Amino acid sequence: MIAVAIIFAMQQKKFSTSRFEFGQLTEVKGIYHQFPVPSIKVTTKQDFFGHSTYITIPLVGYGKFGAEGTIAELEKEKNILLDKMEVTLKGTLLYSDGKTLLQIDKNENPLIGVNAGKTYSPPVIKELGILHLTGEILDPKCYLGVMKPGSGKPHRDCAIRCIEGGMSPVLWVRTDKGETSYYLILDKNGKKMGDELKDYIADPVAVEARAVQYDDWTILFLNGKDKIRRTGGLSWFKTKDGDIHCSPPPKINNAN
Amino acid sequence: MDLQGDHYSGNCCILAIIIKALDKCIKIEILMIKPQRRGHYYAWIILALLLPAGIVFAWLAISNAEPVKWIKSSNSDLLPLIKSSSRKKEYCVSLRTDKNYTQWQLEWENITPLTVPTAVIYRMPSRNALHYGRQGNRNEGGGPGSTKIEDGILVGRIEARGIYVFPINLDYSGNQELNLILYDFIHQQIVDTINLAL
Amino acid sequence: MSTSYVAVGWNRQKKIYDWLIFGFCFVYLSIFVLLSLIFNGEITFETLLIRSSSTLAVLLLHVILAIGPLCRLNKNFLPLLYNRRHLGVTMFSLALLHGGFSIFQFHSLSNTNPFVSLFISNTNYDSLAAFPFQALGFFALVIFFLMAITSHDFWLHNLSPKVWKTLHMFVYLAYFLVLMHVMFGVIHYERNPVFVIIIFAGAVILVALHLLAGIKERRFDNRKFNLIKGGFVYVCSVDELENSRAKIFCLGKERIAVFRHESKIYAIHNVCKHQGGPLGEGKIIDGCITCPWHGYQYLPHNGQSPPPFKEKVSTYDVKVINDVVWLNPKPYPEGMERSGASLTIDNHE
Repeated sequence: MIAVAIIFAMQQKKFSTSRFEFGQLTEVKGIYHQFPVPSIKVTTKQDFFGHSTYITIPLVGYGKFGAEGTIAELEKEKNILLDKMEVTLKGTLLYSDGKTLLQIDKNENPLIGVNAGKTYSPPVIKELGILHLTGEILDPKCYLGVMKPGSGKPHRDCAIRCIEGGMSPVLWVRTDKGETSYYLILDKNGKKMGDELKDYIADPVAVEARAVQYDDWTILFLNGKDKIRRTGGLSWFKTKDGDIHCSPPPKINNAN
Repeated sequence: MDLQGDHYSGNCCILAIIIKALDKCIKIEILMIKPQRRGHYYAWIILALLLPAGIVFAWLAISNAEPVKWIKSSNSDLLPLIKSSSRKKEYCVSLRTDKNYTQWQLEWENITPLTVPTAVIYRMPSRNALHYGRQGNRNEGGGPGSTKIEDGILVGRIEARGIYVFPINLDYSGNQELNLILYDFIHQQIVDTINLAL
Repeated sequence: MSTSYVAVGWNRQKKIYDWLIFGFCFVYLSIFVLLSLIFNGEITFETLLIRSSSTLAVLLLHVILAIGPLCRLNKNFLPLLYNRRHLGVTMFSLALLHGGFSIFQFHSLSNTNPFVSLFISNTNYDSLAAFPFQALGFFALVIFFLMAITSHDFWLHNLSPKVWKTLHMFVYLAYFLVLMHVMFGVIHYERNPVFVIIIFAGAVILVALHLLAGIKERRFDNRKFNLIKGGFVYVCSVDELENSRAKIFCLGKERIAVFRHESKIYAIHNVCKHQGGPLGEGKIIDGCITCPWHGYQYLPHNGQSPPPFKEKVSTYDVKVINDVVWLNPKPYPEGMERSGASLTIDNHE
């Protein structure tokens, strides 16, 4: 029986290196965007030649909720629309594999300041055409930091709750070379999808959608449930992670 | 004191009513041991059929993704010569050039997922050179060996696992090494330093 | 045996048993946690809690289910049986920790009540690949809960033995639900054939033990007694009966224990009133037939528990003719006195 403990402990799949800075609040300053998902675009200081880069950090709410509710309350409280404004937010960072989210909680007074005078530069938008991708739909908050594992069958119910609570679903794609990429999923009109994706979350799926690059995130505009299908059939042999094949994602050069 | 009698006395007790009704319904008589043993026996025969079937079907039902034809990506072509490289568990950095040493690329292969919120590559003033390599401009650039980000030149940002290729300006004649810093600008911390000998 | 109930009647055996359970659980959890942290350093506290409690609970469940048939096949395992309910309550506690924390982890802090979310989040009941495995675990936990809270003798008497025994037989259904919960849940993520082999091996061992014990018992039950004379059945010779011990015979539906005690032969119903233990596998101590499972006692000549206790079992007529024991399988009412058959020469025909 002790042997069973040893086998169970040692044979578990390795967990991801995602991080959730629980209990640690970080201030970030950047331009708040309502579309495609509530996010803050944080730019670096300029380098010696005046160049800078940026990261777009989607916002999520406390628990299994999106950030819209918190943002709406902040806008109501300050009597100001925050879209396209420079804001300083305080929240909890969660990140993994190059993607970062910020959890804002209204109980922590997340809005530190607003700078209405900052010049707004619109995002770089690039049409990528119709992409055919295979991956797994998951909720970004759990996968990128809060839970381990944040994907797969054991986590399915939680992912459904998060996505139905307002978090934007993300398609997680892995190539046979071990490369990964993440795509935000919206419906064809740019609205959040929740209940329509419920049956496909945490399963390997094939997706066909119009892809548009918004700065450093690629958005998939999904034209209905018939553009998703579960992949795979019954098989005695189960492939390991990393063997999911797809057309590789476009590389984004974000230094400007 | 007969506990059962006391318990059932006073039919206003809801629990007693339920138990009486259950007692009548249940055919298994605990004191008739042979039928009860038969019940256990049949239960395990049913389990002997259902358990392996359940285990096998559950295993077969694990979703397997279909392989999809891989389409070659449209990344810029890599320069043929690797002048210098540095390999760590998390990434592999290579400096590539052409045979004339006129064009240079920094190839960054992110092997393991990042464990920082942002990761930006800066090129820092070389410890052995007075300038970054823009020809004829000796007075540009920060002091030699500076690690202040303000003195650095942005190369690019890395994200998910994969290969990143950044063009880089390099004066091969004057520089002995290329000093890079991996910087997290959210936490404002240097994540790593990489020095590539030329 | 007593009409007043205490929460746990502690004695030395129970304390040793419970310390052994605690020790085993402590060692298992320590090894699991330590090795997980060493070989899988990115594991979180929540996942460690969920997995350590669940794996230990499943392991204990296998041990609990194995005790019954093991005791049937080999009496050396009987000490494990005496306080099996302690193992059961321990297993339920671990399962509750796992289930409760999992419901909190995966369903709370959302836009739906956690217990409602458990059933409405994933509704793919028509799909094997996407089957809502958490519901299976929930129902198994409910069964274990009902078993745990009724594990005390108080409930055995107050629910009536029939209801109590039927409730506790649901452990078989719970076992099936638990294995399917594991197979359709975490195994779909881990995909490691080693885990499947261990689960399969556990199920095979339990099935084999139960069927072997069942076959042995059925053979015993189906043994034919053909020699019948005036309502009495020839069962054995006197020499086969050890003093203060019994032999058990299954005549029709009933198992009857035939005891030899102080130059007399007595026959009583084999089933102990407490939890159905086999009285014939016990022995006579201080003039009382003592059940090997939990020590309940009955007087051989009338099947009654010694005062102040109230339990009674049926008695039977028995004769000794020419050193041969004849038994009448028709039972007398519980507690009725029967004189037994003397082994002295005057009573031989």
